[in-house]
Order: sequence, then C-alpha cells, then structure tokens
Amino acid sequence: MVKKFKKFVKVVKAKTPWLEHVIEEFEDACDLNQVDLVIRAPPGSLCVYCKGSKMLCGKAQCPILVKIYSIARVSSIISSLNIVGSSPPAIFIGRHGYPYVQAGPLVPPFTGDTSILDTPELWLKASIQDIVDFRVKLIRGKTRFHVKDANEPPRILSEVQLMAMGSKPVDSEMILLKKPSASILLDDEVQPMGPSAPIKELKIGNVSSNKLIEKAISDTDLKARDAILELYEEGVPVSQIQRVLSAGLLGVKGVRKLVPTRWSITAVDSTISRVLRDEKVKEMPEIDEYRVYSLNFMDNRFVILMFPGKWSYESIEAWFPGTAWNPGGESIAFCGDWEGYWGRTTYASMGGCYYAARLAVTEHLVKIGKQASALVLREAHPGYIMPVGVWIVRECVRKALNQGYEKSNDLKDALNIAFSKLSISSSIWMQVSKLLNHYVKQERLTKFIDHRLKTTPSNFDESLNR
Amino acid sequence: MFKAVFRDARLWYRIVDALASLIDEGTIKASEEGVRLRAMDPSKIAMIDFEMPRDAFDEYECDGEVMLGLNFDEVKKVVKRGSAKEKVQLEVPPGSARLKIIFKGKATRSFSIPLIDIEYEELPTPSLSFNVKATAMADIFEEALKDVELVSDYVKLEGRSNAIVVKGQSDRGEVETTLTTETGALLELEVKEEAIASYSLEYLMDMITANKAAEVVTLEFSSGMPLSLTFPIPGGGTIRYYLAPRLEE
Repeated sequence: MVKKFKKFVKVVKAKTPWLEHVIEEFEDACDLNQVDLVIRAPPGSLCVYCKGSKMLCGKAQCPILVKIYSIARVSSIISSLNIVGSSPPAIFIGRHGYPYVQAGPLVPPFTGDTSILDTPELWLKASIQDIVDFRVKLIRGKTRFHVKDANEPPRILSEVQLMAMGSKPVDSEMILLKKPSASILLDDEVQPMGPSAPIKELKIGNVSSNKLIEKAISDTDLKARDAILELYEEGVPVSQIQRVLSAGLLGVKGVRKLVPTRWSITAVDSTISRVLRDEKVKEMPEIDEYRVYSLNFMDNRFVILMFPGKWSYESIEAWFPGTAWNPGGESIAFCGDWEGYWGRTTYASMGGCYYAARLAVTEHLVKIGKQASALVLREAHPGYIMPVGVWIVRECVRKALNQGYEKSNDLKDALNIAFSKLSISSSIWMQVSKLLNHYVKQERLTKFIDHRLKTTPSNFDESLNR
Repeated sequence: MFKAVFRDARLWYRIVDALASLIDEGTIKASEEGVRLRAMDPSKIAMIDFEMPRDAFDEYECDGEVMLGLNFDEVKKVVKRGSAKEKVQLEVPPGSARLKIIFKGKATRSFSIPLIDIEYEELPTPSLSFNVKATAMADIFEEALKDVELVSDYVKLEGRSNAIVVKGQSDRGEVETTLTTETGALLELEVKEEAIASYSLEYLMDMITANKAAEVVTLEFSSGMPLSLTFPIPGGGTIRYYLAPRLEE
C-alpha cells in the first residue's frame, strides 16, 4: 500500500489572494470570501507551493478546487445556524474516539426529493464533480454519544435513529451551535464530506418507512446478522441496510450499538457476500466457459474474469501515479487480496473494496445460478482524482456483470480479451495475481489419474502448455 | 452396525485433524477389513487416501459396509476433547443415522453427532509410477517447507542420486535444504532417475499437519508429475496425500 500522510498542519485562509487568482470567475471568487473557508493540506505536501495552479500533485484536477467550487454553490445558504431541509435521509457515525463517537444527521439546506444525495446505487451516471456536489450540500450535525446509547437513545439520537429508518426524504430542522465550518478535509480516506457543526436541536417531520425495515427493527430477538440477511433477501438496497445498522437499530435487545459508517458499509458487504457464497454459490454447478466482463467509469477500468471451477475469488487494484491513493508515486501501486474455496480467516488488507466487489460477484452468481472462480481487476487512472467511497466498486462491478460478457472456451483467449481492456501488461498482472498464477501454473490431479473425472474444458491443458 | 475402539484419543484427534486439513466433508467407508476415506479437495488439485485396518483398533466390529458421511469440522471439535490417556470408541448403532463418539478414561464421556448424507463417489487408486522415493523424518521435512515459506508460495523438490533438495526462490530470496541419509534426515532413498518438480506450498502446509500423527513421511515424485506423501500411523494405518504439480517456468 501507498504510505499515508500524517494529517493536517498547514492552514490556508481563503482570504489569501491565491484563490481569486485561480478561480477565474470573479463572482465565484468573491462568494468564497464570504465563507470562512479553511483548507487543510497534509504536512509536507506540495499543495502549499502549488495552490491549485501547477498540478504538482500530478492529479488531473485539483481536488481542493473541486470541493471549493461545490462549497461555493451552497455557501450563501449555510451561513445560518438554522438548517431546514429534507434529509435524503442520511446519517453519519464517526469512528474516532470509539466507543464515544460523533453521530448526527446530514441535512441539506433545501427541501424536496433529495434521495439521490445519499443513494450510491443511483450515482453511476454522475461525474466526480456531481458526487462532490451531492455530498457537499449535506450539512452534518454532530454530537458525541457512547455507542451503547443506541439502546436507550437520548433525544437527539432517537431522532437520528428515526430518520435512519426512513425510506423517503425526511423533512428536518436542525439548529446548530455554530456556523458550519465549511472546512475541507483533504484526506485520502474519507469520502467527500460536507460542512459540519455541533448540533443543538433536531426536529424531524413524518418518517415514511419500509415495513420490512420496521419489522427488523422492532424484532429485538433477531440478531443483527440475521436482520441484515433478511432485509437483503427482501430486496432492501444495501445502502439502506447499512444505514439502519450504523444507527444501532439492528440486533438483540440491550446489545445494540452505533456502528461507525465506515465499518457498517463493510460489515454489510462482507456478511451478505459470505452467506451467499457459503449457502448458495457453493451449491451451484460450475460455469463451463471463460467469461470476461468490463466497465469504465470515472477513469476507473474494471475487468471481471470468471473461470470454470469451484468458488475462489481475488480482487486487485492498480493505482496509477496521480490518483488518490498514489499521489506522489512514480510507479503503479498494486494492492489485492484473495480467497480460496474456504474463504478468508483474516480481514482483507486492501479493505472494504474487497468485500464490496465480493458482494457484487456472489450476487451475480446466485442470480445466474452458477459457481465460478472470479477475478476482479481494477485500474484507477489519473482522472480518478479522489476517492468517492467503496460504493464505486460495488456498483461498477454490479453494472459490469449485468451488462453481459464476452465468452471464450480457451483460457489464453479469455486472458487476451481481458488484458486488451486494461493498460497494464498481462505479464505484470500474472505476477501480481495469485488466482491467475494458480490457474495458469497449477495442474489438476484429474489429468494424471482418470479422465473420467475431468471437469475442466478439454483445451484447458493445451492452453496451460503455451 | 459399526463399532471401533482406538487406543489413544489424542492420536485419533491428530488423524482427524490431518483429514480435515484438505476436505470439509467426506464419507468414511467402514467395512470388515477396516476404515477408509478417499477424497479429492474441491479444486481437484489434491487427494487424500486414509486407511486403517481393523488390527489397528483395540476392538472392531462392522456388519457389511457402513458409510459414515461426516462434516469434519464438527467431528474435529468433538474429538479435540479427548486426551492421550483416554480411549475413543466410535459407534453407529444399527439403524441409526448418528455417530457416537465415546471417550473412555476415568470418566466415560459420550457425544453423538448426526451423520450427513453425501453422494459417495468411489475414486480409483491413482496408478502412478515414481522415479524418486525417499523416507524422511517428518519434522525435518516440515522445517524445510517452513523455510521455503519465507520466500515463496511454492516449493521445488529435487531428487538427486544421493539427496533430496527442498528449494524455494522468488524475488524475495532463495532457500535450500538438503536432506541426505548420512545426516539421518532421510531413512531411505531410492532414485531411478533424477527428478525435479514444483508443488504448491499452501497445499503442502495443509498436508504436513499429518506429521503430528506420524514420525516419518515417504515422498514419491517424478519430474512434472504428482507428488505422493505417505504418513504411516504408529500401530497401523496410513494417511496418504497426492498433490498435482505446478508447471515449470
């Protein structure tokens, strides 16, 4: 993995002249001066010298500026302490200080159908700018709770929980203790997060909730794991399940907890995909050809390869220099993890992306009623200037799998098709991927013992000997 | 009706542990001659062949053939409760679909677990001829594999006229262990033709768990052919593994 920077030292005030210099539209620049806009850059980074004009970090667009443009658009409305608007609904639970965590609602300063602001399932048509825009409009009220407060929530928390149950936007009024800071977190991990401020008061209107969710929440004997699975089976979107889990609404009475948003996303992906894998995929017949799926999105290239065989899975990401995770690097950074038939016993080092893609893959295999060995390859090119969250992996893989595949009966052909869609050469992928290595180099016993038992396609061995 | 008493519950656990390293469920076939399990791992890269003749048991009774479909993870958990001072009795009462596992020591402890219904597939005995055959001290072989694990995901076995060489190499480094009869690492070495072949270390490390139940291991292989590892269990019976090779670069 790429080394991470220690966070924040240098503070640059918006009033310094450089912003006006960079943002050419005079009015936009003036707008910024009204907001007390603070930008924090990582220590030792080049931002201070570059100031958005020289592209020293190598990214195609300055991520700070992308956020600033968005903030500029909502700046005039957020200067008030009183935020009235329709929450998509969205909540955020922080992870710092666990078990004492910051929790609160996300409310935009306007009403209407705001559901798109917090439904990543709908974001595949958006640009990076749009997504930052969505997120920056959401003003985050925050206050600290103990995670166990979820069982007997104080008033604000109980409103937050109620909000999290909603399946439609919830009209809310949030009174803040001070003006939202409009500070921009230049952080490699957190997805775009809008302005935040401590919350004093929260009032919400009617919440219209999905009956299935209500049922899962009121069932205090149902374990969180089982609740997640039940909701998923009933077709509730993953992002909603994740929201109620993180609000501490699922689980057995008395042991419910708030779950930091970050953790709850991966918890849901991992739980569902594990069960799909063990209880469904492994029971299904194997595919009998090689399949290649692909998708390009936001300068990310995804290729999914399915091999005939028992379940196994690998996910590899390649970050080009200039992308979010590899800002100063000169070479491509790879990270990846894999599992064999029996799955993993340790947390994947690459993090949530592994589980998000695994969910998409198992979900698809269940849908087509097949078993396969799956390899997910992702190249993040320099146009992907900042991380927008794990959802991008889940939704892109889902979409790629649903839009059809190119098939081949020959391993070599399949690899050629796959690598023609990627810019990194096949020999490098071969070195990096355990699964490819395993497929190409490892022989099967069936070849030596008895042809009757042969399950792999007949030309498999030929392609091995190439 | 099937009933067998084995003298050492701890050793029995080690045997079960070795079987469970490769498969999660399988059918043990009990007949008048003894018990046998032959199964391939799901990816068809490795195979296990376990047999224990009736003489290896203190008591043994079996009417006809009895199929014991087992979830080895479950069996392992139960058998782990036994100690070396206890005997273990395995029993399927007539007409029952449960396996009774009874530990007999100062106390008599009895477990009963359900048998599972698995499609039984009679696998043929692999008829392979090997050019290299060596019997090694199991713990020395295990150490050699662990050394290779530091640098590589697969191991290269070389059979020379006077030694077995266990090698690993990658961009992380190179490791080499030489086993010979002179130093006592090998008890026997028979080389018809010198051979060299690569095998997945991941599978080998699973297989080597069997050395807790055995002291020596017999390696058999040829260039580009499967490897066979045979662990003789003290008192009778063997655990034998087959592993498909990796293609050479």
